[in-house]
Amino acid sequence: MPFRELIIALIFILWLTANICYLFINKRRGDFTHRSDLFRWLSTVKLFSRSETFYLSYRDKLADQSLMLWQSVSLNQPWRPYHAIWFPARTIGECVKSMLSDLAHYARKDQSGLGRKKIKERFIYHALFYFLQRYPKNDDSLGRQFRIQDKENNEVFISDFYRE
Amino acid sequence: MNLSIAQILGSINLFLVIYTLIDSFEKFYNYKEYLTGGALSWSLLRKNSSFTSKSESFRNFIDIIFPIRPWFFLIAFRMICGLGLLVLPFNSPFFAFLYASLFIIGFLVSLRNQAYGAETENRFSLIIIGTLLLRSLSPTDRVTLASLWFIALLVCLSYLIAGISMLGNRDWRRGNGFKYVVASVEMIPFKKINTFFDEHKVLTQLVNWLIILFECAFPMVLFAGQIVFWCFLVLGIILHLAIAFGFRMGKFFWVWMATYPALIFIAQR
Repeated sequence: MPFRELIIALIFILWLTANICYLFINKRRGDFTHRSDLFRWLSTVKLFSRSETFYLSYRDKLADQSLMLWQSVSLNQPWRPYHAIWFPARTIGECVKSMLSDLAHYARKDQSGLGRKKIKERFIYHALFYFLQRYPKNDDSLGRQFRIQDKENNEVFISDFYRE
Repeated sequence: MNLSIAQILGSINLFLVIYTLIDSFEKFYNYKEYLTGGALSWSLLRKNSSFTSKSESFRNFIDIIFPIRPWFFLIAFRMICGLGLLVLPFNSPFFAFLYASLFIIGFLVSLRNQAYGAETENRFSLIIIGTLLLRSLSPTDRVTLASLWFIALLVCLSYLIAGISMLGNRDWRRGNGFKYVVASVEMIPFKKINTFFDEHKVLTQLVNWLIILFECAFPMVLFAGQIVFWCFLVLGIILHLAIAFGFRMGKFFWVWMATYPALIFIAQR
């Protein structure tokens, strides 16, 4: 067997073995870490095995310290047949769903441990506020807060008030 | 009817290119999200700790390629490379360059958006593109055979893992997983479909177990003979069409269909 073929065969064997090892040995951690690792690409394929849905809502605090009512954020677009081929609006919806799922995961874990990154220090916490800036607010708003709920309407996470 | 290697690889390329073009056009369509203030703007994404914790030279590099203008130049180049796969003759020496470009840009797509979770279809397409890149470096019969086996094994593994993952989920194990998914207006915002599956419990339980059985048993296509093979292939196409139309995840369809020619090649042998 020529040297180049041997190298390619070795790469295939290593790639396959690494995928299999990762899938069966360490698949849980892979959902949240090292998403660009060459050997962990397959572990993201779950095809709806996870059916948990989270809901996002937000509210503003006004200058007189009163709170506005919670406004729910709808990530759904009406179903259209052509969405099977062309559905660019799905991109942002999926980004937000991913952030909600990750934040809910972190919120359910103990956040008090030393050395563990706090939710409020995480990028997705700030990215969610950034995303919510596209929704209208009063001029006298003192800050915005968001809430994540599960499908039974249980509160999974509630943020601090945040002002730009 | 036996398909030649050129036809098998041509079919894989065709499906990959369709995926690449749709995905790239969707990125262009969403360009406002890449501008300042958008959820995909580089001014936001660059604050992700997975970037800020990297070395200064790495950050300088990504600060050059990830802002909107260079980024959309790369996406446009990705489309040209995809079209090149269709236009150039089979086994053209340029194929290695085209696959390498598609692989690198696809990897950068995954890297840039990593804070928002995996674009599963992009990452699975990278496995196929990476395999074809290795094949194009040494396009001998043995390497071609190994490449097609590799793609076939990984697609079987992807179904098997999804099946095992479903078995590990309490809802799916109790026969309710499929119902929760299709009766959910968040997954399928189509009231008639939600109501239909909500009212037909026996049918949803049957489909629930059929999906698990299909996914767990899919690796059988590699050795179970022609009849079983074609049954699984037809079921797979139906499943992916249902996902594309029902869940509006059309890009999944093209990427997974890109692996089926490899399975056909293995079955022919």
